[in-house]
Amino acid sequence: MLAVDQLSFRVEPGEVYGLLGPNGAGKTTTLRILATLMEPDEGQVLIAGIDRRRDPIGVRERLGWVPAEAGLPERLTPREAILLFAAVQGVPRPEQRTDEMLEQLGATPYANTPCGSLSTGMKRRVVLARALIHDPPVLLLDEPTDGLDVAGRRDVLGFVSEQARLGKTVIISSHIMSEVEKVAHRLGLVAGGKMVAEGRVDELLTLANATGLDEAFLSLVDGPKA
Amino acid sequence: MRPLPSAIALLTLASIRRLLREGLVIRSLIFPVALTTGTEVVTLGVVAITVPDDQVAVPTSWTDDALGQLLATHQITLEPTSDPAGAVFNKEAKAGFDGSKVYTLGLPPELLLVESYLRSKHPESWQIEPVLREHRPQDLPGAGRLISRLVSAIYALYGVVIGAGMIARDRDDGTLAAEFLLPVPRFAIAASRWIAASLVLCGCQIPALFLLDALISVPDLYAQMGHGAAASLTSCAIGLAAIGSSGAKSGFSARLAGALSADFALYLAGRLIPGLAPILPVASLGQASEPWLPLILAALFALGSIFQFQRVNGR
Repeated sequence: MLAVDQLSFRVEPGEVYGLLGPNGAGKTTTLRILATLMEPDEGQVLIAGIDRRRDPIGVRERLGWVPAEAGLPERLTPREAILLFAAVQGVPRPEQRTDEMLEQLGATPYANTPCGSLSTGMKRRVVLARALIHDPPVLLLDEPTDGLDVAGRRDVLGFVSEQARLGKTVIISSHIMSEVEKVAHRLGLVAGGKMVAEGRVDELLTLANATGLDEAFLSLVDGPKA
Repeated sequence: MRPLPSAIALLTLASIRRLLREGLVIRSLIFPVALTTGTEVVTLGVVAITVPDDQVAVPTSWTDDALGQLLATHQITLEPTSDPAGAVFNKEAKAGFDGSKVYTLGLPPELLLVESYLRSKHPESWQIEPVLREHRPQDLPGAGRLISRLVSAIYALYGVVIGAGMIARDRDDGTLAAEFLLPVPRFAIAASRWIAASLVLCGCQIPALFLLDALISVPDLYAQMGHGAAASLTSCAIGLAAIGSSGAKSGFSARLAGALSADFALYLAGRLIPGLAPILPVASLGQASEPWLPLILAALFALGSIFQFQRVNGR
């Protein structure tokens, strides 16, 4: 099955790039290819200037990954889970760095509670802390607000903006247009594994002659309503 | 990035910690040893209660002191009774003698003494007519070999389940994909899981065999441990390979069944081709030979299983 086809985009440091599309559009597959989790049949991916095919480990050193599912070991505590990643990534003074990240994400109160007992919002904060433990220049977030309440979504999106302000390259995928619209500098609209349109929000609205991003997306994918 | 051995050690420790915190894993690992030792303790208790005293039952009319003196030199006493045969059947005495017939349960030393006495009184040619047959404590070494083999076989099956289960669970909840994002080769992630599962399994299996040996005597104990460890290491690798080589959408049950069948096929190969039994891990369970070849083959199985993870997609 062809999940992603002829998809090409470039994201600059300090920029938040929103990968938008309906379920099954190929957003997660694209992010997994970027993250070295899946092998593409063809094409080239450069992360922070490194070719993922030639040096996947080098890419992973420069990448923070926030998957749609938490991916946290249920029997470990957040502190243990993050400390493991810090230690394997070779972060200097991993214990101190782990505590700093937990504090920064507001996860210190439940740092010693097994991950399996945490709520979705708590897990998301832990996963963010884990993704940033080695201070990577590139951050990939796959549907990061899924299952979160209003406050949780606000916190995560605020955190994404903050990371871009710190100079990180952020790619965020979502099927909720209105959310990504708030934080992304540029958007890529994906459908059927292809890039349908790309640009700033105002550019996409002009291109589709629409007043909202949802309308623009539908217009660009299906063509304007008769 | 950490040096690879150090990274594998860290990942292994985390996997061991997770396994040890899973109540189901620990309960299942303790189950075989608890079951077998519990059964043995109960059996020994029953034997201790029912084993006859060191007595030879004789008719109440018995008057010849020669037999009594002969037995007394071996701290065995004569027990006058109206029914010597009944005393033996009821396990009140180890042997009974009515002047012409000797009754025993099995072959206790008392039988030899009574026979010696009889031969001194009746030097003519005669033969023993066995009537009774009971298992005796001396038979336990045979049982020890059988039980130790069964216990090791159960641990081998657990090895398949734990090896397959830990990968399937981590793949389903995204933990495996998250670890694939670490800057280490994928085989390191698989190696850490195999080492963790093997250490936990052998950490339960070896004390279990020591305990069995203390209770019922396991012949060739260290060989049994080696062959048991080879079986567990191989089984973990088979479980790991069965799930690791499957796609994300493959079910768990069919893969697990396949892995268990592969494990059983190894065991069966050793039964059907006796020449393979001392060599093949799993098939070598219960063998008295040196376990080095099965252990080396187990390591090779594991290497194959671990390195196939290099080709596995994160999801």
